[in-house]
Amino acid sequence: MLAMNYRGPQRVRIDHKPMPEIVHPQDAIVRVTRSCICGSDLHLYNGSVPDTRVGMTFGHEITGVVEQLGPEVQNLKVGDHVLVPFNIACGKCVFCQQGLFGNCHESNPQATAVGGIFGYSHTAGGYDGGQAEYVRVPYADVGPTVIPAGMDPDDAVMLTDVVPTGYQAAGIQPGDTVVVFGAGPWASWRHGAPGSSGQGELSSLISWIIVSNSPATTAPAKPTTSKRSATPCCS
Amino acid sequence: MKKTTEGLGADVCIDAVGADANGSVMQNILGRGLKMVGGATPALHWAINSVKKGGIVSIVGVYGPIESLVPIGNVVNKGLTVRANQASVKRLLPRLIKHVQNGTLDPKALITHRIPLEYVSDGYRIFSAKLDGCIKPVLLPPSATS
Repeated sequence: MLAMNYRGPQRVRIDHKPMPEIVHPQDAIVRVTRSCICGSDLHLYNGSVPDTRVGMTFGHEITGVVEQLGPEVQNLKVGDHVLVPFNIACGKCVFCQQGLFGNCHESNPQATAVGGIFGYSHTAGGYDGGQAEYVRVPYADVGPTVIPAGMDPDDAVMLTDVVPTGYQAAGIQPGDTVVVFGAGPWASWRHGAPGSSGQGELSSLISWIIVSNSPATTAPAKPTTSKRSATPCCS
Repeated sequence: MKKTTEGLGADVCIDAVGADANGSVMQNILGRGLKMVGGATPALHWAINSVKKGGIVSIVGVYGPIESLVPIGNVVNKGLTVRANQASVKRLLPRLIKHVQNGTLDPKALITHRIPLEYVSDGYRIFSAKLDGCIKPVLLPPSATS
């Protein structure tokens, strides 16, 4: 299959790699339909994440179609179109039981901080990621979620990391002034989005200030339904 | 920022930069020497120092397991709440799916570039150098487009 292959800092290439296989009864093999490059993939790309090994395939924002299932998987069937959260989580350990799927104790037992993450170095478990035609998804009953009927896969793939990462962040109340340092995708979208309470009207009651030194990212590429535009400064 | 907040500072400051930040020249040189490049944390410094007393600092930007130089004294003296984690996606999905379905959120509007998987190395190069306004690239395997 075609897969991205890390060859060293600032060197990645497309390559032919062996098809992933079911190696555990709770695995699924997923044929990738979308796979983002995340801003955090650039840390790997630039060689700043410890234990990023040559030969690894990156990619942790994935949607795809289930091609093959291990014998213990119960919640999925072959042909399901799923979105795959970037966290690899067992669903059973003490952290997963608290909803801390990003801190799973089983998927990355060698680490004390982070759980397993697709394609994010051996610091995050050493799992190959989804910038490929196929990917092995461990604990397939836990993470992968069937994309609801009618949902655009472009929307679904954004729900695997970037949107939830922004969404979980804030603790914002109506009337607050909120400063966002760094105008990446999350900030460009955020000022047009509802706040963490899930109330759509909240955004209009908040003063957003976006701070960035990157000309490429001071303005949102496609402004969404913002009622109040962001105020770029320090540019 | 101070003008907007009557000199008090913001209620919430979000560090959405993480270890990507460019430090000062001194920080970068010192950081390389001490193997603490990720220790240059201007965004987090600014967040901590510009949030109002008793406010919330939320860390969304990714920091690796590298030592960081953080003004922890100001966190204590200002009585801040610091929030951070790798998002637990599965826990948040039900609410987010609802927001997408009822039109409150339009996540695909984030996508700036659609790149065939075969051109992945160009994708990384363009995104890393922030060329062509690249903010959110999506890779499409050949089997997905045919």
